[in-house]
Amino acid sequence: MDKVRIALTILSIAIVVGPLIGIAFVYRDNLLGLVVPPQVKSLINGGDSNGLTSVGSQFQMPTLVGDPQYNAQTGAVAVSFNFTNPLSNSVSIDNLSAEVQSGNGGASLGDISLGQPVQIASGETSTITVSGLLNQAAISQFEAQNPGVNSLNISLANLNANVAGVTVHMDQLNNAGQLQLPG
Amino acid sequence: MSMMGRIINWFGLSAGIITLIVLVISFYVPWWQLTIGQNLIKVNASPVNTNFGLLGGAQFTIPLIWALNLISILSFTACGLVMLIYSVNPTKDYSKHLLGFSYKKPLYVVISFAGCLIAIVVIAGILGMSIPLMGSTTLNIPTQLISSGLSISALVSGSFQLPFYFAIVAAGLCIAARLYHKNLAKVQKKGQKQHHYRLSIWQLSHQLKRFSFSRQMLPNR
Repeated sequence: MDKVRIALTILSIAIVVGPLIGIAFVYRDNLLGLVVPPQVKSLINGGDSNGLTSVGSQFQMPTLVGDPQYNAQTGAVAVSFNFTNPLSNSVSIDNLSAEVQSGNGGASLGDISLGQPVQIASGETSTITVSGLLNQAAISQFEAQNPGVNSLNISLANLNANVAGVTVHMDQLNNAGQLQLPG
Repeated sequence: MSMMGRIINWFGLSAGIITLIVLVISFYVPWWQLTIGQNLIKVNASPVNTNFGLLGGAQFTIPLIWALNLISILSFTACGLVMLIYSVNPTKDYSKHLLGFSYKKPLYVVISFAGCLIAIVVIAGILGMSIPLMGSTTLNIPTQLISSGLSISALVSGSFQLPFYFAIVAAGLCIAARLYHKNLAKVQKKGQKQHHYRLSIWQLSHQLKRFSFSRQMLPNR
C-alpha cells in the first residue's frame, strides 16, 4: 500500500519536474529563448528568418496615389490610395473616411468616404478610391481670395481607416495633393 | 454501486473517461480563443496546446508554455488512467491512494488555467489594454507606443470553447467520485461487519456441534 503511495508521489513529481528540466536543458545556452520564440524575436528585430517578419515590415498604411480628381461642375472629388495586403489571408477595408481641408489645416471643404467595403486578396495591391462632394461655396470663397490661382493644396483631417478589423485614426495628413481649379 | 456483484465507482469511471476525452479534444480545439482584428492576432489557449498566430503567419508556441502544456498532458493522462483503474477497484486497500492521486488534478488544471487567464486580463488592464475573457471589446493601443496624432484600436473578441466546459464537468465528476468513495467505504465496512457477524455465528454453531458430538462420544457412566 505504501509502495503505491510512494510510486504515485514520484510520478506526480516526475510529471511536473521532468518537462521543466527538459526544456531548461534544451535552452540552457539561450534562456531568453524559453519565453521569446524565434518568430517574435525576428519580428522585433526586423529580420527575415521566416515569412512573418517580412509581413510585419511590409504592413504599411495606405499611400496616396497622384492628385485628387475634382469636378468643378458637380463638386465631386475623388482621392485614390494604394494598399498592399502582405498577409497570407485576404483582408477587407471596411471604412476609409476623412475631412478635406484647404492648405494644411485650413477651412473645411467637405468630407470623403469609401462607398463600399473593399476586399484585397493575399499579397495583392489594390487602389482604393474615396470620394465625396466639396462645398462649392468654400471653393468659390478660396477662388475669390486667391484670384488667378489654378490649384488648391489640400490636407486630410480626422482620417479614419478600418483595415482588417483595426481602426486607425490620424488627426492630420498634410499635403494630400492639389485640386485643379477651373480658374 | 455494483455490476455483476463487482463494486464500481461510476462517478470515477465517468470522470476518467471524460478526462481522457477532454485531453484528446484539447489537442484540436482550444479552451479559450482570443482574436484581434480579422485574425491579425490569434491566441489559442488551452493547458494542453497553446499557440499564437501573428499577422496571418504560421502558428507558433512559446517553449516555456510548451513545457507547461506537456505537464498538463501528462497530468491529464495519468489522472484519467489512474481514475479508471481506481473506479473498477474502489474497495482495494490501495484504491484510496489512486483516488487521492487522480481526483484533484483536473480541478487544479482548470483553476490554474482560469487563474492565468484572469491574471493576464488584469495585467493587460493595468497596462491600459482591455482584453475580454468572453465577448468583444475595442482594444486601444496605448498612445505612448505610437506617434502623436495617431491612434490605433482593434476589435478584440475572446471566448471559452467547448473543451473548457468539458474540463469543468470532468473536474466535477472527479470530486463526485471522491465524495462517493466515502459511501463505498461505508458499504464495504458494513459488508465486512456482516461477514464477521456471519462468521462468528457459524463458528459458534460449529463449536456447539463439536461440543455435543464430544458429549455423545463420552462413555456412559
